[in-house]
Amino acid sequence: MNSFFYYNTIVVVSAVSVFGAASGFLGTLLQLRKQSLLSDAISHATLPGIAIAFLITFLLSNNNKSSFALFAGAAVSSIAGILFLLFLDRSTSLKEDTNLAIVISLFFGAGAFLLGFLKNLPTASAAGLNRFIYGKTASLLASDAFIICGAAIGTITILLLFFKEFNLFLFDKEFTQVQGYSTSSIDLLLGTLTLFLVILGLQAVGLILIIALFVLPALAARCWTDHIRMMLLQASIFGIVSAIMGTVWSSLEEQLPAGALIVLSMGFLFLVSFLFGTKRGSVWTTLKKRKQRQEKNVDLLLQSFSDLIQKTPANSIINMLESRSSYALPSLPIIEIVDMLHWSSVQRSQILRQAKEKNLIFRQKDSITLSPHGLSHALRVLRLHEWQHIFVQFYPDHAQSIHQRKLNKNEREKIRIILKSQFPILFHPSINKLQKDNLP
Amino acid sequence: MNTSPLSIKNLTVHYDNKIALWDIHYEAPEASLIGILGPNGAGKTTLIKAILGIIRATSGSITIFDRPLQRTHHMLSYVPQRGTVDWDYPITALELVCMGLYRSIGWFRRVQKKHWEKAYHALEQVGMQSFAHRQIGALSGGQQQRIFIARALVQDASIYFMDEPFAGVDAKTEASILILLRTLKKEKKTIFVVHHDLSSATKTFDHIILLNTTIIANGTVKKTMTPEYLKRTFGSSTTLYEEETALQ
Amino acid sequence: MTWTSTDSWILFNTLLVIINCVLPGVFLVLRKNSLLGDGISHAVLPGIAFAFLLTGTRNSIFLFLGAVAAGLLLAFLIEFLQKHLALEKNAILGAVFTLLFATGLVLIEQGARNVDLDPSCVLFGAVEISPLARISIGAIKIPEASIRLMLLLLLNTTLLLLFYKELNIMSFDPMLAKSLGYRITLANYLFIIDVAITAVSVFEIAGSIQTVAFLTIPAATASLFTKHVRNTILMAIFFGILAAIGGYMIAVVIPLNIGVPDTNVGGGTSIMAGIILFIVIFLTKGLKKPNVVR
Repeated sequence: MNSFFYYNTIVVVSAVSVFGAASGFLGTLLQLRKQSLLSDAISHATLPGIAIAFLITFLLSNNNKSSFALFAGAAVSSIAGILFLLFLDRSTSLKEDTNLAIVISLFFGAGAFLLGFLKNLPTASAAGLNRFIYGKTASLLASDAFIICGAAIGTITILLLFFKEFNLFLFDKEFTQVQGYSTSSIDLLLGTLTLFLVILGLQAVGLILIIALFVLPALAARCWTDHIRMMLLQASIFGIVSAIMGTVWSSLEEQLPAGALIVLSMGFLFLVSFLFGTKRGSVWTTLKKRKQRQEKNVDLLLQSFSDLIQKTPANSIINMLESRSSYALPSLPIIEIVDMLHWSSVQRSQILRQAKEKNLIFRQKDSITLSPHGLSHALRVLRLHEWQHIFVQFYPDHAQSIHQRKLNKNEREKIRIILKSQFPILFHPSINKLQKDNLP
Repeated sequence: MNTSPLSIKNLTVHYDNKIALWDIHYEAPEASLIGILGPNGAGKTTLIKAILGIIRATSGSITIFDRPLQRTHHMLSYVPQRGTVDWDYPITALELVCMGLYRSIGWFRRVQKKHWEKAYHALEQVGMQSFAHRQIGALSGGQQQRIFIARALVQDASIYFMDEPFAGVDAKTEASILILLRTLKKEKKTIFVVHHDLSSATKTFDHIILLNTTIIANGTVKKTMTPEYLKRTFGSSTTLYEEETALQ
Repeated sequence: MTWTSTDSWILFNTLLVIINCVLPGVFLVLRKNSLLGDGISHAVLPGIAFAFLLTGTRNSIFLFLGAVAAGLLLAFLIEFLQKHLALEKNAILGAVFTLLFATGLVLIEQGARNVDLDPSCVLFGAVEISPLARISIGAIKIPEASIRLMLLLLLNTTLLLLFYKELNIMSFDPMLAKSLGYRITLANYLFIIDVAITAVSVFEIAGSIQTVAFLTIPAATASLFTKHVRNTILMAIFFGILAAIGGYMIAVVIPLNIGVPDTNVGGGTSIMAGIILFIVIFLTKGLKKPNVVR
């Protein structure tokens, strides 16, 4: 019994992982084509076909179910769904999401209509139908596994074979969004593969949860990267990991539906990605933004001394830097600063406190003066500022990436020379020491 | 007391994890036609959206006639780029123009005859009155542009922001829009126009803002439209302009 | 088959269901948010399961509140994730409703196995049994369901009349609305709350199949040729009524008359709505240009 249990679990886990990889991979491609919910339409569209197949096999042979017939019915009917979707898209002014919703509700309604005729039939057969909607109520079996695995491997192979084409088709140079349905062969291929996977995964997971397998891993991957290869890889890995987690969990709690547990595992991975993802995670971005804003605000404060500094003769400033004092520099009334920067009073006291903690300013009752340390930093900020202005004007094509781009040596030299000729004071050694980043 | 129609200090705007605008300082002149020029992605539309409060600025201040944005919405009006709207929406040209009045009509109150008349009058000003009852999707590009302008006109604003109003319209429409803008200027309004065509900019505007994530230059046409400044703003794409001016 | 008062009530209730769905449904279609209806229909499951586990009863008021709460949770999560992730809206919708549904399934299996809380009832609906619980008002016995639907209709009609122009401006041009000073986020939430309340009320009485179909299909059919939003609403109601009557015919009247068992009314009305859509597409071909196909 034990060895059978382990055999069963391992087979199921392997199959489901491969399936998770395939659906994660395919789901990412669909999402990039802005067709995330195609799986929703396909899965709902299977219902009429399943109902008809059921009716036919019931009437013909009084057999409670023939898997093949149900699959065939599902396939035919979902193909009809896709065709109807294409028809709506090309013949009407209706929007994409409207068309999806129409196909979903119409086909599902047709399915319910047909199924309604069967409501008086013995429940054993009806249970088979329920499985298509809710998935297996218990663990998956090895027999399910082989079908799933075969489908998944086939899909992945095809996806990898055509990966170059997908890549070219989806993107121009960098990461650009592409919109709208298209009857090009790539879209057709994506649709067919989705259909294939959906139908074969339906009976394991149920027609509503199957959607999650295409959406969640892709979404989780997007929290970490925007590069397509990494996205595909990560989505596949997320698919595998959550499939394993879910299946193992389900084998421990046999009465809980396997599909739901896999989806919940995916949800967990998504949650983790959402909170901590480096590209889009909320904890990460919030922390980063807060740090940026703090630094920027203190810099803005220092910047408000720029006018004063530029009015002071250069010799005076050099003296102050050498003697490590800033007595010659007048103080700035706080009202003027507030007027310049339009901070709320709460923000203002917070920023002034931060600047004081960093030893940049001295505070009198109504005004602030720069400390010697503050003077050096104010000059640093001024230098950075002027540097950016010069950069933008000499490399206007790169203006938009100024804050991310790292320059090469020639470019840095060029700007350095210009800056030095305009503001020699900014290159005093005490300021050079303060430089971080790669700015000259 | 600052009576400048628009005063921007230290504006920074993050967009999509990138810094779209930084270090923007600007004081607008009154009763002027001001062109906003810059290369693709320079942040021209972002600047307008930040001023109107459609996107949130990261830092800095914007004041309209020395008052904050929250209290001066009614003084501003906006003509967006054409592609931003669903043209299948079941409304007519007259209804679209009337939408400019909804806020001033107020919650829970109905649109009355006087409002419809005002909207119709605005359509007349742009020469679109015969299309008043056409569904907006049945209009051509230039016509759609004009009803957007009519919607802005109906608001009786003091400051207008127009995003590429001349894009993709025929010469006749362009001329009529220009006449309209000059009329507005005579009525002491301040009009900002994001513009894409350098050669026509010198003839159209009184003042120019050269923008490329930060303001490179701003002032009168004569002061700003120099080859040097243009080169610094547009970089490699100025060659076209130089050729054009050389031909003239 | 003889037509009884029960049939009349079922039909009446179906009509109320339709109008209630069409009113917010038109704006869902106009705002390109039609899939929200499908999302809500699946997302309510955990709300119902949770309410049932919490209160131990199948009293419909608690299940109703649970379902509405789940709908609101869906709306909130979508807005929240959308703000932080800036990714395709439908992907986020799909992620959230499937997760909620999975949670619901687990809750049901976990706690409610001994009692029959059949999820398929929520899906397939029971408008057929809606006339059964009747309340007396004056001399007439009115089904409780009809009363609730009429109250819902009162709510939806009032909201529509009060906020007609604001609804339109926010659906058509949210940027203009923002620049005029409207609070878009708040308004969006309020709209979705109304959709959730409507959807859940209707689910309970008529099941989710009809609901999703009626939130979308009649409005979509009308939008193929209308020039005014007011006409879209009126024509959508008209198409909905046709679908209801036709649906009842093909689901109940005709089968019973030919000796076949009757079937799910919700399914029948959905099919009729689709047939009407198909016909109208052919009648209005060329009136509005289809999307640019790339």
